[in-house]
Amino acid sequence: MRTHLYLGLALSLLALLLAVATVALAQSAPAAAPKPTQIVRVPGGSGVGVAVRTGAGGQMETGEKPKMKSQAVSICGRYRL
Amino acid sequence: MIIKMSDYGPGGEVRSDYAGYSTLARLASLLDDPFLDTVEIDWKGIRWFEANMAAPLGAVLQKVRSWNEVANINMTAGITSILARNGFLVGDGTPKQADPYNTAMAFTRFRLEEGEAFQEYVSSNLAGKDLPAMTRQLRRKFLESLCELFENAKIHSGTRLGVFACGQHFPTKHRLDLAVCDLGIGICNKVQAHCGVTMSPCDAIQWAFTGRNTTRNGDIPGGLGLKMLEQFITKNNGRLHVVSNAGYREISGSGCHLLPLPAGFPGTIVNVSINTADHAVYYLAEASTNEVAVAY
Repeated sequence: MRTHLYLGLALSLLALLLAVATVALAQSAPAAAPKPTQIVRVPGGSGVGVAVRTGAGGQMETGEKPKMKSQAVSICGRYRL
Repeated sequence: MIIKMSDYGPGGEVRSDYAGYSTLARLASLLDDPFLDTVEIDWKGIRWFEANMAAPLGAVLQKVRSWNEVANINMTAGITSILARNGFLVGDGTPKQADPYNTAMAFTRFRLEEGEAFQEYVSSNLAGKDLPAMTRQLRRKFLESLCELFENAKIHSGTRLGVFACGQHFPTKHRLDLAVCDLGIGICNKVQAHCGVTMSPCDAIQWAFTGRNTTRNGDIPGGLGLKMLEQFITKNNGRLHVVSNAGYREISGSGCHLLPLPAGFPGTIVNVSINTADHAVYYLAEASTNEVAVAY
């Protein structure tokens, strides 16, 4: 009975040590360097379809219907802030 | 003490440009040490004052108001009208006037803990002011970038007087300007302390915009919002002004201009000038493949 108790305590201690080591390792690992966000500009009238929608607090506008073209953006949500 | 604005604003105009910021920097240096005095700002001879410049002017006057009385005199009807519409003159006893064309972004002083209020200010005031079309994801990033201006002032400047903001839509000039200003230690002092080297105010501003440079410590990335803002403004053919201490940096579609100011501004001004005649659509590059999947 006592052996089981010791074994249980030892296992608990081991689990605790493992958890602490994992957290320490995670914190010491260098954070991945963030990359600046790249913005793409599609000139007006380029033929890229735009589905005009209202953003939060935005203003609804009528616009072109989406035109499916073989471009990077086939449907681009267009928002007016 | 009477300060003649026309002595510092050549040509009777104060615009968001090198001359305009020089005017405010000279004015600030002159108003550095009045104590228990009445300061009268004489606007005689000033025909044009861009409303967004009320943010840096208001910041300078706020500092003076701590120990002095400030009055604006001889202001033209036109300038009075625009500064009453954005609420700048409320401190002088002139009530805020209605803005029927919804072109003004109110002159507002935010306490440092009012980050959420600043976010709401930017978000609500940009609505209906002809900003270029952008995807929802980019719109969120764009707003985050603008909010980073506030966070930068809060984290880096060390100011106790808060953050001042003011904006103006110029429909006929197809511009929307938003100025954010603090009276903190300035970019130069901050960068010098971080890098441990002496550098000019212009070099310090340039450093802050270079690569992944940031004075922020720890794992939290910094400076990305400002760089994203610069990227957007460059593509949009707008302008981004950064004034800090005696340094001036302007980014526009035509490139980057760094110039020393004739006097040091006691803090930092960032002015974002968006070209509202731009009919292009903007989106995030990494979102392009997922964009189709977004249900509209």
